[in-house]
Amino acid sequence: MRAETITAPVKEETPDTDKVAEPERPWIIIVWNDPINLMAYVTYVLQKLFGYGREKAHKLMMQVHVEGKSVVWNGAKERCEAYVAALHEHGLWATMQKDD
Amino acid sequence: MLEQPFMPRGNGWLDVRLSSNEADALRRVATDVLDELKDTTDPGLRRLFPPAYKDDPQREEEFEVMTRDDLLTRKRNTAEAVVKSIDKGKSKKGTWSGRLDEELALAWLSLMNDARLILGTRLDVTEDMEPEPLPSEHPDAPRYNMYLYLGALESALVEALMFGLPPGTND
Repeated sequence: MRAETITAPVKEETPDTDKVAEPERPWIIIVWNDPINLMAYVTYVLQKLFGYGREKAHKLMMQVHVEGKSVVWNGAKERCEAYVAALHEHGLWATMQKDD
Repeated sequence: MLEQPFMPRGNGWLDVRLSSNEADALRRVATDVLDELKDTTDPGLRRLFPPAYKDDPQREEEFEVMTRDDLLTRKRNTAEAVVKSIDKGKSKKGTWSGRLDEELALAWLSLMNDARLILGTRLDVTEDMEPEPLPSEHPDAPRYNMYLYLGALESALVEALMFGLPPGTND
């Protein structure tokens, strides 16, 4: 099953009016299922890193658990890389790719 | 495990109570992780350093050059912080107690998770494995039972930390 791209609000970012909005958001972050990480832990990390509410983080975690993966964020390449590094620091199995 | 080992105290602080044996065991887990981190090419550590790009070796190499040293340093610092915080706590009449600020609580969480990732990878755990301790004569018993114990402790810590999270956004 193909995971749908989820558009998420970005935490910790103040709108920069001087900058032209990005014309597209071509990169996605995928979290993959693994048998070790605890479900509650994955939910907690998604809440903590992305500022998601418990409901949304739980839904994404369940998608990882049931479908094997979930797109947890999308945006510019550099920000995706920073988030993927943070997800790796927390032990989640996260990868990124162009959304095509 | 004692009931409610982690008690939220507000502002991200947690009071922690473990049996002295548990505190000793967790300290050993942290020093074991520090030992393991000396050889990051060991296949047992692959879940600690997963690739960011599955099908793009060139980008993956750039990502690793950019992030790998920092990730390793962070994991080392985390394990060292846990050791220090356990040494700083007080053991009295078989009970260890200590207080963690938010940063230290997160270090405990990451350390437990890193240790579980290493143990779980080495033991080749699967989702349908019984979460029951193995009998002591089983060769995997020490590692698997520690894996289960760390899972229970980590669950309790996640629950305590969830308590302090802002509501966040659900749309």
